[in-house]
Amino acid sequence: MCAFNKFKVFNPRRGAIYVVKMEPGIDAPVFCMQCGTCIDACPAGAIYRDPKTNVVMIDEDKCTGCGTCVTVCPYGAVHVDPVTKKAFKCTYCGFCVKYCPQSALKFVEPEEALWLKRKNMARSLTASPTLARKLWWRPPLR
Amino acid sequence: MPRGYMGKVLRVDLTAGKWKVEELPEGLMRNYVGGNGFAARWLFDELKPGIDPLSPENPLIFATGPLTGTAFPSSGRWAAYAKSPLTTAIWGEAHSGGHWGPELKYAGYDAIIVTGRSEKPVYIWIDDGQVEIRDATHLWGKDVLDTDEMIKQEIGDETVKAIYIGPAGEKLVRLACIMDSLYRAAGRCGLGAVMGSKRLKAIVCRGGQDIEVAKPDEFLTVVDELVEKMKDNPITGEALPMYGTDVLTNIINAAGGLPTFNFQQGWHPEAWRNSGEHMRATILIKNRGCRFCWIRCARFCAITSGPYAGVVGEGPEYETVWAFGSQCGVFRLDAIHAANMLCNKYGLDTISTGNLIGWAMELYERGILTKEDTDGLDLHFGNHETMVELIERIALRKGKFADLLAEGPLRAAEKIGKGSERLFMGVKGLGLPAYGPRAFWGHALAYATSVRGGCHLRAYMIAPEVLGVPKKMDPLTTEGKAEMCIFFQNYFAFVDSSLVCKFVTFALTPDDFARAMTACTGWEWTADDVLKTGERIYNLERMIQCREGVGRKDDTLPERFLKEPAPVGPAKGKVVPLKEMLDEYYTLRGWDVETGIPTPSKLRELGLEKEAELAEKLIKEAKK
Repeated sequence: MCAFNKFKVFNPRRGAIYVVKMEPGIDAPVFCMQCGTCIDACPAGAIYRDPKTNVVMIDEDKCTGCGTCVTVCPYGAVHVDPVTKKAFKCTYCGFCVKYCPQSALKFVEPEEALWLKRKNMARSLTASPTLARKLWWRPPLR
Repeated sequence: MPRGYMGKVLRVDLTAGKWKVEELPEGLMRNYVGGNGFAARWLFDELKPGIDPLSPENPLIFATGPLTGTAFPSSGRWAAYAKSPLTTAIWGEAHSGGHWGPELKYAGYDAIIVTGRSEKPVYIWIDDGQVEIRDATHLWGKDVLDTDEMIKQEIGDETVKAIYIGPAGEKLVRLACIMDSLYRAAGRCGLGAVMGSKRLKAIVCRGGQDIEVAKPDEFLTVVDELVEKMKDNPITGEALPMYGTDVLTNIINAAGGLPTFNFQQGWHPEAWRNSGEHMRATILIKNRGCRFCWIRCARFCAITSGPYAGVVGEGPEYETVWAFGSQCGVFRLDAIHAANMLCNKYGLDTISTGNLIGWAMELYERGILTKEDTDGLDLHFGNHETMVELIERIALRKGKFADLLAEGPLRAAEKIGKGSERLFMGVKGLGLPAYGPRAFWGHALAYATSVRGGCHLRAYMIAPEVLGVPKKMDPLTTEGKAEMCIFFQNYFAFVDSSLVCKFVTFALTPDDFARAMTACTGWEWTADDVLKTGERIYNLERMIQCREGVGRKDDTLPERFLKEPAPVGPAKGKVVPLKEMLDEYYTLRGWDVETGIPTPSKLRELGLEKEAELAEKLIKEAKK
């Protein structure tokens, strides 16, 4: 749906959110974390942080489609669109959230996000099997 | 030029190792929509009557529709068509979900027609419109899981989507299916064997082309509305996402229609062990689904204990649970999940295989088969170890007995004899799926008249008879059944041509489809157009059958449902009054009541001039 929002066509390869599938059984969404690594890297100075929302934005007039941002992005979350030849990444518009059947995506206020982040952290800690074994394992009582 | 289509069809001749691209004619799109419609047109024009289904002349068609790959709910589908090697119904069709259908469109093609036979194993690699026929000698003999991984490694991209056959398809097992994304199958009618006979191991797609719709904003409004409708519907919004298709086990068992022990009875007290509720409470890990799907009925399951510990994968759906469960008298989900995963691994159709094994079990219990005939297997009902063993043997044609079963029930019954063919529960050679006809008379009619044989997906009469969609009907009367059956057949023919998932029909009406098609293609569509087009496609499919001698004599059910009253459950004492429903059906269809062939006047009304002439000839011959 991301590509539809931006370009009015259906084509998942032109969207700014990517689902990584790993068998058996893992599907995970990957999108921009707004870390800003690309801001300094951009030779055209086309990437900036929106002062109001703190979201990293791309100025399409300045973008030359050189792909430097693609190289430096640590998440693989930005690509150069094959048709417009401009860099394209997630700007947290929230369009896709409405179209997630599993409600795996959420669009929340900062206060709620804090709790969700903590929960995610806790989950990632305990879900790791090796760590879980260490956390939960107790020596047998004599 | 209408939108929603890529406008191109790929023709591959494997004998010559050549391919060419053809434009789709506009009339074809308008009159036959896509999927089933395209395939019916092409098979009628290009399939020579009387050929062997496993010969190089049999065209194997892969098709998508205009709504496939758009945001229309549950539109991640594709289908395969050919003359069926398993059945006597000629028309062979199999649908699958997954990710390959949309990917084929993103790669630039609406359909692929494969003909000929390659000398050595090959696979077709479609990269953004560019086609290459590659050597697949190293993939030959590999199972589905390995094939998927090897192809992705060879191409060097894990995001490519592929369909492939397993060892069963390569060995021309007539129950073989075509697998997509490891766990999805275009199962019925044995089309995997057709693919195997062409020595085509896989078709791999990758594409970044756009699917455009005529009126994007209007289309989005329609889609939003339809999605809301699906979320509000208790079946598509609650039951299927929560418990998967297996939610039906308890419902159908309570209605007395869950075929148990090879359709001997329609109810069993242990059935709850196989139910979706029980699955959710025990082995379910998470939901999964196809592309753009709001229902997400796929169950990802893992078995962690018992003899089948370590079986992990997308779990069995209702038909599979029944086929390896009640049908074989097995009431444990771990054995069913293991059987399902084996079928996925080797590329076997679960319904046909389960039906066949249940049949073999009944023959064994009745003494028609002995331990000598079965290569030492103890085929009593409920013996899950043998069941799992037999699946592997059938897929690899290991041993004399499994080799016989791999030829399909009709050919096997010929060899076994002793009245075994009367105990096979199928129509036109295709094993019946998981709804007992004696408890659902409308569904019995749907089985008998279905164009591809014993199949529940050409008219899902369970919807009105049990679930109350679009209106509640009493399952044990004949009143209004023929009319409803025809409505569903026409409607589903259209849904199968626009190629989206049939589950959406629980919530959506022909009018919803018409609005979506209008916004998508840019042509005006009304609900009447939808049903009329469906009727045209269905009649054309019927003519493909009739051309090769299928008629009223084949539109029947196994003797058991017509003579033997149901022994237990809510439908106790009932048999199916098929004849009166059939007469009404043919009359309402505008088909010749005596022979079951569409009348020329009906075909002319639908704009099928060439077919009308043929029908005239056929009816004259049949009445001589």
